[in-house]
Amino acid sequence: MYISGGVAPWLALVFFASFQAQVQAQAGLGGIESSITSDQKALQGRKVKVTSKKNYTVHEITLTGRVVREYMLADGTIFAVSWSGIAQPDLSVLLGNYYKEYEDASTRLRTVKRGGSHTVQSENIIVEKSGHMRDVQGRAYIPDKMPSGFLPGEIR
Amino acid sequence: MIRDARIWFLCAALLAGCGKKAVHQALPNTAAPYLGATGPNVLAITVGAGTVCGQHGYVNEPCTTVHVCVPGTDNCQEISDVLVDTGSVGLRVFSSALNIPLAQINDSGGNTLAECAQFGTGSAWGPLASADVVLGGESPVNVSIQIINTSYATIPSGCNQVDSSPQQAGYNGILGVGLFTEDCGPLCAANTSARTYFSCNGDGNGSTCTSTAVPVALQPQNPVAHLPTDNNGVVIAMSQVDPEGSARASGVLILGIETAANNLPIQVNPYSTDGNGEFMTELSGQFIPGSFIDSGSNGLFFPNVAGLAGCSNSGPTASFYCMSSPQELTATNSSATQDGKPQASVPFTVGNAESLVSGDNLALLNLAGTSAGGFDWGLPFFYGRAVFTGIQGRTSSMGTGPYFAY
Repeated sequence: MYISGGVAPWLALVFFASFQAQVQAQAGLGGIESSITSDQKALQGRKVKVTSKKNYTVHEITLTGRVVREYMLADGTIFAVSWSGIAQPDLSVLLGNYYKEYEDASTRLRTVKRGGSHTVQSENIIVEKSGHMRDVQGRAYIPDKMPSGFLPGEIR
Repeated sequence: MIRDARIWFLCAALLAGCGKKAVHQALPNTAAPYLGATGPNVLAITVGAGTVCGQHGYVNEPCTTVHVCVPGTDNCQEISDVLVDTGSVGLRVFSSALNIPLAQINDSGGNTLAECAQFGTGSAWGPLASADVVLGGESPVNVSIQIINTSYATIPSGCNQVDSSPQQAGYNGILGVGLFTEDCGPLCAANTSARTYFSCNGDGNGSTCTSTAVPVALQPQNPVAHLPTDNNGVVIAMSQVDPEGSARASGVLILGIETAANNLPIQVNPYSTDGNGEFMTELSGQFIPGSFIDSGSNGLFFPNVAGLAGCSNSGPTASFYCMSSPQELTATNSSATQDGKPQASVPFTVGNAESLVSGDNLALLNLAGTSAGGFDWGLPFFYGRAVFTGIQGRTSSMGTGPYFAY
């Protein structure tokens, strides 16, 4: 009774949960190519411009007073993101599945640094922010997934 | 002799910045003529003092005291422990530090206006309110300010890492006396989707806030720009501190540039900035765009183009520099306009952040760390210097703002 009655909703739940996980896994940093379009919608961005580099592509999303860039490997993995402009974009979108570990690491961080610069290193990613009111910048990247020879300074 | 030998050894080891003789001449203390300034346009600055800045604050945190009043009345309150910040614009005060009733500012639809003010690294959330702000002995100016309150309505998504309390933030408020007349400016007056200002359908938990445009006149204002005469900028001069650090430091915030006998430019050159308030810095042969002068940053923060040694990644000085012996460097700042003129070299010393912060000293001259952006000339730059911040569109004999001069 319990078993037969519970299977269908249980399966539905599993299906829904995996669907949700898949959707979440595709957003922002660590996501795949198709997630760039969903990020653009979630961030209310206007367009995506693509620039090809030697072993990666840069996908630029324009928002009001801001620019967001996603750095993608040939296999479609987003290995870095950056932003600059009047305000930071919603990092819960842009950092995707890594947002929670970033938030946790930020909360744990007890540095004496205040003001225009900030670096948070968590288990898998590094987030760096800088700037001042009217012009804030930042970048986040997965060191383990950067193409060979790539330097974080190339993320602008 | 030994000292010189050590510097040359460091140069050889680092292969950076070695083209010039790395020995600094003593700089003139350009703050000295201003430190004794008195008058209605002078506010005292302290580093390492106060019940909030001193006891809950952090190193290199310059704080002052202002007064706010219910507009048009003498119902006023002193707000102590307010961060002096050339990197932002507008007065922001924690709701928990306020005990006078300030009316919130509504949009045309009757909804209250709130702001997610974003600084280089953190943010402040809360409603806009109308206040009479009194700086020093100046007459009150009626301006829009922000009341910082994380319990206000529902914080919109994207407004991350907000200041939660004076004890957590280390100040009761922020006095933004930067290069502009209002905080976000025309972009946020013309666009509803800038996600800086929000229209909220109530004050309480569960009320929702949507991104909106706000006319510049209703945006939090630089109170200095509204003063009757001392309205074209400010001078900040800080006492010199020991290379090993000092327990405390003091200084002055003088309102106006060339508007009184106590704020005349002496031995300073103006560096005009671009529309973002930024200029160019060259260090170790690398050009660093997006540089700025920010009293609200507590160190000198710059990209590690000189091959400096970083501190431990896990300690309180993560992403600071920890040199085994003080490293003397020279950067060159240049104007964002006027073909990059003037240019002048700025010598500075990078110490060991770990040992600098290990004692009780709160004023640290040689505190420096990394930045992924421009060169952020934070509070150490102000020690022993007078730094002028010229407001956009306002003039003095040094030119029309936005400019910094030192």
